[in-house]
Amino acid sequence: MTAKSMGGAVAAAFPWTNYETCLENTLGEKWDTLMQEGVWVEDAIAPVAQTAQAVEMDTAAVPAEGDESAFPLLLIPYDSILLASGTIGKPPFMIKTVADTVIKGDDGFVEVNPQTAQAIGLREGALATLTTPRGQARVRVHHFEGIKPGVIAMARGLGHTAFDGYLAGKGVNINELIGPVEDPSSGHDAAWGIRAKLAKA
Amino acid sequence: MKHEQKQNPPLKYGMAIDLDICTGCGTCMVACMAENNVPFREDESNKLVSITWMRVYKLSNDKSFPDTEICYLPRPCQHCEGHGGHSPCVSVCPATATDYSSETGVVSQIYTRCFGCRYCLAACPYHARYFNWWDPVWPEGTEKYLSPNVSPRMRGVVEKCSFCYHRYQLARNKAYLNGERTVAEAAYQTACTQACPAGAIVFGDLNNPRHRVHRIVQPDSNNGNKSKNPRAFRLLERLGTNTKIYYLSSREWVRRAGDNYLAHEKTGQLSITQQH
Repeated sequence: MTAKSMGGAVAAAFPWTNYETCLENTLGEKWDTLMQEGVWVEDAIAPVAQTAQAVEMDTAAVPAEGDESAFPLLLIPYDSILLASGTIGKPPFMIKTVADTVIKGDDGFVEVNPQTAQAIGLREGALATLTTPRGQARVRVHHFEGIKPGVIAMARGLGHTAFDGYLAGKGVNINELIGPVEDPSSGHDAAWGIRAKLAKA
Repeated sequence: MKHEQKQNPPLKYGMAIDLDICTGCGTCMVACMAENNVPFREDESNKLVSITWMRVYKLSNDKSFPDTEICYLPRPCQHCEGHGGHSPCVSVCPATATDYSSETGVVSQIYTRCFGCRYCLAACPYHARYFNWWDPVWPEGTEKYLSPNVSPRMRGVVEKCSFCYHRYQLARNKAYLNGERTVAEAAYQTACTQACPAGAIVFGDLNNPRHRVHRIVQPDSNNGNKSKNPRAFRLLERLGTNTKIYYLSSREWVRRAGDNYLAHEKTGQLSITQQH
């Protein structure tokens, strides 16, 4: 209907009166089978190959950036269902749903296994300095049993600099602490983590 | 209350929240705040003063990696019936600003009566009540989304989940105009129930065997409305608050987290005082 009212080439490209006629005309014989049997199966597909293998599949996993002796921990970002992880801002209600173990005041938290935290001497909620080869940030520590010892995690989508007090300045932008590492076979960013160090602030 | 009119059989609105389905996405919280004109401030990280009628908690089984399990638990007002409508908050309110409705089972909150003594906050075992420490501030433009059906609250009063009571009032009026004697199950649903993308919340009349919530919960009226569903439990059930929010979980540690048990007590076991 919209196409018809627009006229010209657009109207000519959509000659059907409705979607059903469109399907009927474009599906050809399949339409009749669909109408009669309710299902249509394509059985004449020739496979391209029996097996598939990506280029350089057997190369070793891409290591995260940073020297393991200087940065004993591995920092990874995680996507929280309560935060918009991209560049989009979060409305006030969304921020309000975030726990006080992710943001407290303007401080962002890093999730640490209690074992790892105790080894460094960091209590629940303690202030710490998080250092990676790419940067440094002031964070608070949240003990979480569910994270592997030696790995620490931060929510993606915090540390906005833009807009008002409902959004800006809350937490740390983890992207500023992480650099890209290229996967040799695909050319895409492979390692989202980075070696890191936590110390008492 | 001696001359209460009883024209219809009493309703008892309640919920069944399936914790096996809940993903902890917080949509119920957002839907609730938008529906009920709940204010927001720049810093909402102090959860003691952050007003959330519906709040999603994260539970953990406290086992170390890799055996850690978590579970999300949405917590609206539990709308306690207690014994004969003696909810913990209703019992202590000196202003009759909160009351238990034997017609609907809803624990009300009348903001214009409340003078902010906060006894109810202290009495509520579920942290479901919140105090307005400040007048709400709506940044320019945001006042346009406010619902005209819900009165905003002022500084100095207590507020909490009302089971979207304004929705019940609208549905009741509509039913009356249509010449119907009862409000249909689908005609009255809370904002959180409708917003839940996983369908984890089921809302309806616990007294009505045709309502889904009744069929899930199967409340046992001979046993303090305890659910006959083996997956179901209520929060701090052994206090005798007789709440109308039933939680469902197939995980034993989640059901056990719903109450305070002594080490030797079985999950779901009655306390000594209840047995006598």
